[in-house]
Amino acid sequence: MDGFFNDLSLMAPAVLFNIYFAAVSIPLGFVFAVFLALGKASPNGLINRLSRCYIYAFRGSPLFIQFFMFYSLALSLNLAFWKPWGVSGFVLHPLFIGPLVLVLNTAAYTAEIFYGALRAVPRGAIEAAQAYGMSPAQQFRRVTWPNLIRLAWPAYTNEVVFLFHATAIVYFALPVVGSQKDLMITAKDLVERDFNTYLHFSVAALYFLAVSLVIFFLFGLIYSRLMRHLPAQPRMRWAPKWMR
Amino acid sequence: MKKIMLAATAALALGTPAFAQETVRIATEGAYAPWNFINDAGQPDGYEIDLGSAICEKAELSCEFVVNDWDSIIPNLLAGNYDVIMAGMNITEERLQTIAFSDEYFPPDPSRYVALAGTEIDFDNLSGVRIGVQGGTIQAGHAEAELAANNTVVSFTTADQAVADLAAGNVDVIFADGAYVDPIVTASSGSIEYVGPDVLIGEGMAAGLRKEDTDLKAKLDEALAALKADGTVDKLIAARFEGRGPYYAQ
Amino acid sequence: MTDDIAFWLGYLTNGKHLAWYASFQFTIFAAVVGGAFAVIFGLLGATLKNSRLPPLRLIGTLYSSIVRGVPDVLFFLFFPLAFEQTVEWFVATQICSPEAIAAQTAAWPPCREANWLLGSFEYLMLASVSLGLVYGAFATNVIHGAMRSVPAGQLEAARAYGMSASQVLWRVHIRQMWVYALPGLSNVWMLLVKATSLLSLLQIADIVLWADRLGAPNFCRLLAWSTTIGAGATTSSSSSSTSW
Repeated sequence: MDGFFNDLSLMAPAVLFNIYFAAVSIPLGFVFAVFLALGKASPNGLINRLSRCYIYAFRGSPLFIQFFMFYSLALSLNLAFWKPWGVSGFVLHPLFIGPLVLVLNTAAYTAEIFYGALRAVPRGAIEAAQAYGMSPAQQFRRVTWPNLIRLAWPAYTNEVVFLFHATAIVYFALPVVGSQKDLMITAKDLVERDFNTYLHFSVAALYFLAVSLVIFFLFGLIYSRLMRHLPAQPRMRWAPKWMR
Repeated sequence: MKKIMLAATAALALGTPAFAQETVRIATEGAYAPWNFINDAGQPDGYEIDLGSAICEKAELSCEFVVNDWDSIIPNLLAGNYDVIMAGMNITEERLQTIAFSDEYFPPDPSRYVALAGTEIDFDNLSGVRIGVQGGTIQAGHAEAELAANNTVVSFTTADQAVADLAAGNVDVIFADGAYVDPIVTASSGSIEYVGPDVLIGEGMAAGLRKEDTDLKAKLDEALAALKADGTVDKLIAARFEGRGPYYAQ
Repeated sequence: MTDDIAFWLGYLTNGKHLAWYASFQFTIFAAVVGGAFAVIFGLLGATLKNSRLPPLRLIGTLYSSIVRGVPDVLFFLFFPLAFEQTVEWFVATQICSPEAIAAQTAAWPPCREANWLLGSFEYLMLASVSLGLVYGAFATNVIHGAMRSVPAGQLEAARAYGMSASQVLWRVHIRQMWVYALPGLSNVWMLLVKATSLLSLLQIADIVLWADRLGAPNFCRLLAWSTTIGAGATTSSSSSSTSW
């Protein structure tokens, strides 16, 4: 039991790194994803194709490899760019490059969700907006976007939880700076010290579960706020699909 | 994490069948040239592989090399996945608390700082420097204990990755075994150079063993002493480390 | 010039590179075997979840929600170690003498005799089972949903023919289910293929580990090149970098 509480306190600072990675990546990825989804739905051939390629590439390759690739890429550009600009230590820091890759990655997955929702926005609602004489910008802001986000929100919640889970592999691919270790590295180090696999990994799992539940709770609150106009508010399904 | 696993394990079945007994498994990292590395044929190679084979022949043991990541190499020895570590490991007080060492087979060698040519670093007053080390090494221990307060210590899983990050300018200096960086400095034709003071922290490299395996330790020590006496160890060192030795000539 | 040709030819002749290409077999093996296990565990989990007995239902639900609730990499690292330790613990209760336990200095296993030594192949197999377990939890959900999508009339018709419960399950329910499950299972398969990139974390010498090992020394070549260009020299120094 002592070991359990000891682990809890050892891993409490570690979980902050995972939370940091997720907290930085989620809003940025969200914004990027909106543009990507619009790009994929765009009638412009070039934009359309670029967005599709981007989404395909990032959804089709493992995040683990993306970390390696972006780190190597950033490393090989270091002497040519980052060093002269004086941002070397910043660009190559796991706390920067980790969220960077996560943003690029989650944007692709989220864009696919948003794109699906965009196509599901009722045709009639948009036609009605056009009949009112709204400009395309107005249509998007007043009609398309509110519909889209309501349709996409449950799936987006899954994606956010998945993104939080994906933060577990950041430090498997990037160098550890000083004593900045996330949950997985902390758990792995502890296991290598005393081989108490069940204890250490269970505590790490508990942390992941706890934060996931908090995410579900918060996103559920936002969902009920989004749906406040409905007389009988749909509850977010408590058995999430957790599927990317 | 736990188990030894490169597909490239060289089975060095030595010793005559009459004396053949249980195989002694020797773990190495396979990423620390010239001590141990994976050669162009995809097999473990290097000074420690040469020496380990020679020791096993002398002691009439049947030996097998396995490759294990550096960061879990001591835990896996204790867990019994293999019997001996020969992976450029220095004898230290801290390691002696958990494992035993054979007699040294590579003398205490100063650890050295290397940096890209033209890097100005004030070693009397070291601060604000990014120091690359391989995690879990004596150099990492030294850097974390002595230098971490004013500098950033970046730890990599392999020494090669640390060198890659130095070459790309992500760390200002790397701190590593002198004999490890020697060939790198030589081969870089002037773009990587030694900086700062030499620091003597290791007590020489030796084979790591579990504390209770006293019989095996005795056998290894005996064979090693014989090989030192007949000059084999010096010959192997000279073959792999340019301009080193002889250390053990009588 | 000849040096450069020799360098590029190395990709075809060098034993390390050949080992790298050969290591594709481990990744493919893990994907195929892991996929097969995922379907088996998915069927098992879905059957449990559909069971009429509450404890079995609980097991099925717990399996699919706990495994999906933690990051795949955590469970992936946890399972092989935990499985091995459980076996070692069980063996230890049978064969360890008190003296042997007292003589053991390491934290694990309880005594030296109980140590279970896994070779490369056994460990690859364990990793594949681990992949199967993780993605079996996803497959459980997919298959469970698909089983509920089978029209009730078909099952009733089967019962009307006098089939027993197990006959209905095997001859009708599971066979009809595939149509609904396949799209979801193909998603799970994609996830699983991407997750094989994590094999290197278990020290399996797969494509990622080799790529990582082979990639690092190239930066030194990069440095040699960039200094060559920087010095304005045209031909001289790149030859020296080939040795490492």
